[in-house]
Amino acid sequence: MLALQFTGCGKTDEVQETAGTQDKDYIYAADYQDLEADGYTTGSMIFGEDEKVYFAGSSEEGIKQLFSMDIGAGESTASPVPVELEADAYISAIGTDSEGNLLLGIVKYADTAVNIAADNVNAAEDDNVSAEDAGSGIGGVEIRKISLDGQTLESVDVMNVLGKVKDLYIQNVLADKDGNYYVNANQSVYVLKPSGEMLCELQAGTYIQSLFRMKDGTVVVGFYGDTGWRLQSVDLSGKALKDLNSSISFGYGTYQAGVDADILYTQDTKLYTCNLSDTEPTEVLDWLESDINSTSLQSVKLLKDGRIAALSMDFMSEQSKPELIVLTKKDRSEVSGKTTLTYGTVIVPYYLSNDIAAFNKQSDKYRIEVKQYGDDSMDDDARVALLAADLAGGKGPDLIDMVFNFTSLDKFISMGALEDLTPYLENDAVIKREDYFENVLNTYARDGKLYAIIPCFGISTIVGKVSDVGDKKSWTMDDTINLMDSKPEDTQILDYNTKNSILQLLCSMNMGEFVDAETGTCDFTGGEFKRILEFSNQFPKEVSNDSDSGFVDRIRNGQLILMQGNITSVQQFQMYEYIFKEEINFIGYPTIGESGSVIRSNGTTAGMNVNSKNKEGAWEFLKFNLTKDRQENLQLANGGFPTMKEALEKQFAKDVEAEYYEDTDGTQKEKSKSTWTYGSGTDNITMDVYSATQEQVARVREIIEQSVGLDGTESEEMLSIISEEAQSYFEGQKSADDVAALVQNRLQTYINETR
Amino acid sequence: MKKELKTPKKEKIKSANSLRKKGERGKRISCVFLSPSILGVLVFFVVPFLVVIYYSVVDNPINHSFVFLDNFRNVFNNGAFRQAAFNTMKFSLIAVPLAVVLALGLALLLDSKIPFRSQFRTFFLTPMMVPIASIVLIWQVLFHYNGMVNDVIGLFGAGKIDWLKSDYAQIVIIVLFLWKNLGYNMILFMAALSSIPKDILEVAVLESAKPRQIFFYIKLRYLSSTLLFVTIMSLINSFKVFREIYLLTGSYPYNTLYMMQHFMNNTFGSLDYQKLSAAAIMMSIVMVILIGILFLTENYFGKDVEG
Amino acid sequence: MTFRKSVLKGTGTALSDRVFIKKKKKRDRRTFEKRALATIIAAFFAVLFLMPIILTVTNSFMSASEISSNYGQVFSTTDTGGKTYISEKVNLKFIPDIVSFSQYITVLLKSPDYLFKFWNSVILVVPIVGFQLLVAALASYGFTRYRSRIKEIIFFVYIILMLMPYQVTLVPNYLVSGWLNIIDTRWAIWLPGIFSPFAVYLLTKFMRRIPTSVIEAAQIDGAGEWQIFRRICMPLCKGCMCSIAILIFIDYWNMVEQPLILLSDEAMHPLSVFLSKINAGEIGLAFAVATIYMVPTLLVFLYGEDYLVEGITYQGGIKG
Repeated sequence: MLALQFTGCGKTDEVQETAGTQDKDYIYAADYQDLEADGYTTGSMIFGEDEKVYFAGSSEEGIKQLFSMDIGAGESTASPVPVELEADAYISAIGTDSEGNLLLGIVKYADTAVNIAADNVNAAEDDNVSAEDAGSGIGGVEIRKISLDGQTLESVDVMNVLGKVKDLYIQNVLADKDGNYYVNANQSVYVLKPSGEMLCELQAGTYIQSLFRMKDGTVVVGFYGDTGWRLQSVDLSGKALKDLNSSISFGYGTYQAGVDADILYTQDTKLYTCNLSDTEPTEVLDWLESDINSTSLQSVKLLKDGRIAALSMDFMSEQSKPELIVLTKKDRSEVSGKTTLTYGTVIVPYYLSNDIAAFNKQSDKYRIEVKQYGDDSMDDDARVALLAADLAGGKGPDLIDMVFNFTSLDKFISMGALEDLTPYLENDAVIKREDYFENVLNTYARDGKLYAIIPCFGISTIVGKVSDVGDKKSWTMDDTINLMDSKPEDTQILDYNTKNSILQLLCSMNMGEFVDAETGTCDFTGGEFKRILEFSNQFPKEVSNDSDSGFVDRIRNGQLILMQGNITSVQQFQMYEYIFKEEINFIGYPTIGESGSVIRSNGTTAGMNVNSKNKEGAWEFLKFNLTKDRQENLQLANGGFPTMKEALEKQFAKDVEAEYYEDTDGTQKEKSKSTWTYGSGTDNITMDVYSATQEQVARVREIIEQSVGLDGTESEEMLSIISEEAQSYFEGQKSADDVAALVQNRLQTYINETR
Repeated sequence: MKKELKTPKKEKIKSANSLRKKGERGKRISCVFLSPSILGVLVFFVVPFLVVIYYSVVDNPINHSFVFLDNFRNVFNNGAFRQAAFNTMKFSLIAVPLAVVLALGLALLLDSKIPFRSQFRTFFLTPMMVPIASIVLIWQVLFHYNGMVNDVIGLFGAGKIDWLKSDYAQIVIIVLFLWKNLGYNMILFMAALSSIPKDILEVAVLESAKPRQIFFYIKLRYLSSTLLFVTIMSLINSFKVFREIYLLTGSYPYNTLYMMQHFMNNTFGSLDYQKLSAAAIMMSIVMVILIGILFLTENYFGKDVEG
Repeated sequence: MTFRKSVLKGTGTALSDRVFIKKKKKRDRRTFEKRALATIIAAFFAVLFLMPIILTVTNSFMSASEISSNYGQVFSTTDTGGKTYISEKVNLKFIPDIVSFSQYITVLLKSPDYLFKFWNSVILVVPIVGFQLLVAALASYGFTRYRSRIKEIIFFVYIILMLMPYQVTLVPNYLVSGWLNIIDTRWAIWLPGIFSPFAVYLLTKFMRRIPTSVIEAAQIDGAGEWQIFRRICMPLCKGCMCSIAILIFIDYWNMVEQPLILLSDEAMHPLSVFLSKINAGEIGLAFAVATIYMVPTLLVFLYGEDYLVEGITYQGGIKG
């Protein structure tokens, strides 16, 4: 009846296959080609209706050019397509119409020539950042229809329609069979008549990921809306977006028109094709099997000869490099003499696919394949149970993902499934243990044995003003309660906090007080637990949004005292300082221990299966993520601190270094490192982050050094029992004593059982 | 009385010899009949069970080092296991006999030529159809702290009781179990009652036997194998009631509701297979003994009617 | 023996078969009183037993909003996964404020999901019922004919295996399915279902009560084992098989654990899984789904109830 543990979670419809990848006897082998090889920076790129790839490039000297390359014919060099462009105009987007011609979305700048194509590629990565004056002075917008050899067939000036759009950035353009143009720009699709007049503007309210024309001529947009991924068709008669009628549940991904089928799309790590009338999509391939990071894919083309071409732009690495990838189907055996290792996990986050793809690409001895356990209908425990069953049956993966919770770490240890990595780490020729933060490594150590390698981490903590929380390294629950008592009645301790969340927070940090792990007894009936109950009861039952001032104001004027924070960079520290506008202290969660700031994994964190037949290979992968090269690039890829001290220092050095640019009036100004937005909805704050001071870096270093790993005594099950019982107290229907007795009764069973 | 109960002697078979020859072949053929089932049971039930036995004597399913009885000792000393074993036994010892006796009572009730018998019979069976969601909803609404039962007893001035989180919890679950299973048990008894040869009952009546005597000396004897059968079915169903308990109260309910399946389910969740397996083996041993006793009892009481 | 005592208590009022011929009038009146009492008791139980099914059906005609305002908090969970506390009074409500077919319209017309799941249930259950009966019929015949010590022991093992709670063999079952490579296919549900000892136990119990004389008579007439099985045994077992079919059907129609563990693809899950994990968001449709879900069981019952009553024990007279 374990099965019933599967039940707590909500219902999701996403279809995911758990099947291992090993059972296919073929594999798609990838060939990569750098599209920037000849000194051009590549911007927009697409596959044409033929088997050619078209891309816009601009050279250092400001020459802009449209290139084409016939992949179907096996060409490996691009040839220019003669297109006339004015000096300050560039091709923002390339598209197709239904007659096999190309469409160019051309934007002309009024003022100085900038290397815009490249800039705008970056802007596409995150539209928050696009504020960087991309479209401030637009001098002209044109949609140009050209034949495949570059002859202009039609040129429509749409300046008076699109020129008004603030910060215009054209992402996609296409035409339907009636000759109407569809322009995807700035969270909207603009539909223009063949003459260039506006037919309608369809707002998605968010970044539109995909715009394409299906084979029946319907134009479809895909974006991540409030309720999840939406795939909608453009309904011109109703001038609205209309949900597609299909029983397939589509999820976040990259969508485009299929060749024979309606839609071709990449979701998670897999490429699917489907007709809308299908009940399930057909899987074409798993990108990860070919060591391709599916998150960086822009567009895919199924070639007639069975090969598959893809355009990829990797925004995660330092230089976003546009690549053409051509996949050829090969017999699994002929492809690699590589030994295959499996990586067992319950979900595949982007950084995992990143790391595995990178490892596979560089290793000539090993290949990692992901085996995913469970699907969205299961909760984490149930998924972990499936993984465990495989381990017990001797079919377990070589590498076991350990990112998600500490309780599963303890379960796997008690199962005896995890190899102690200490000897590997200590005997390695390249990696030296002392080069890494010991407290971070120890997050995954128990009884002196190291069970997983954590290459990248963040710190979860509580932030407050020094004037409130003092400059101590940690505080106890009593300190917290006293602080609250000293404040006026309507002061809030944490935003968005309820009776329940405070109760959980306090209990999880103080579980050690109630539970005696040695004797296996617990005591909730003493005064301490009741105090927590009473304290939590002062908070509102539900998150209230009745305060008319934003959270930043409330923090600055003292109505709100603390913030829960997750820092993964110095810039975040700077942001918190900016929010509080006062000296701050990362005091951490209330605890009786030494520190209440907790280390959390923020990247591929894995352990090794004791029974792995390829321990050497497994270690190769774990070690790969610790290498200097990987560690130094982590901040950009994962947004966390690297575990390697040297790499962290290098990152710090970057954080304090200021970059300047010359302003229009000739003065030197510091360039902002990035722009941060914190908050939700309308209640948010945006700040530009500049170089950090040595002081700030020192503070971050200090926090990192003093943070601890969780010891796993907090268990979700216990917290959920506590909060379930506490509700009757919060409702005023039972006394604190009754609740404490019930909690005692149920948790004692729990504790007995785990002994 | 005793005389009538004796079964008529078997008819002597004349051509015993030829049958014996056929018998040898027949034995082999009967094995052919058995083979698909035995094969399937081996693969899907016996082999898994052997794996359970194996797990129960190794330190963990990865290391495979033999520890003999260590797991059993650990489990036996585990407070939660003891609690679970006690609760489960208590539940079965109360609920199963109740389910048998009350069902027999209902069967006799319907046997007594009351009007609408067949309608009643159908009504009593309906709980078997109701999906679990409805059952959980109804029990939750009835027995919650703010539920209907407290409402009703409140009318009589009684204080509120948190039924599922107090020492009354087991009663609630027993009621649930009875409600679900009485109907089917009753049907079994009705069938058995109607199969008692009418002539025997008539003779008893003619000989002025009291109803009580008829019940104990005739009906109960004829029912003995059904009694065993109903007991076994109720035992199976008493394990199935866990599903409802779980959905009503979660993995760690009030301690009197904490059943063996909670223990197994939770240890499975925490991947502690060796603990799970040792507990399972101990439970099976108890079950073997229990069924053994039931069989012996049946043999003792029911021999003379069945043969 | 406490056993007997309680039997006595339980049935004291029910025994109305007084047999004395004297004082006829008085006897008649007493019988009448007893019958009336028995009827009242039966009626009382009947109401208790019928309540949930009536509730399920009547509530299926409430609008989704009426349902969630009535029972929403029973099924809602907290963000930590625990059950929410029911803070206000909850009552069962039998009669809808407004009779609405919106639940049915949604379930039957708007979201085909539920019908798919219903179909999944059928696909999973029907083969199990059919083939479990077939395998069991053969095996029971094997157990019945030429009884031997070994067979008795095997039969005992069947009973023990039948009694094991599902938790016991959960892990190994998953392992075995893995070895056979049938995880995530319907075979992982079908095969253990088909070979379940349950029907073997029931059918063997029944067949052993068929008088050997019947079989021996056929044997003397020269019938082979297959013919005896096919022509003598099976017709006699027809009623019993029907009643077992009903039991198996109900059992598997309600299965929850097996599909959750062995079929990770939610698209293959039967309706019973959905009904076991109703949460606050779905409660508005739950009753209509539950009602539709009960229809097959109801049909099976209506069609087979007589078999259920007569089928389990052999009726042809008890002879050694």
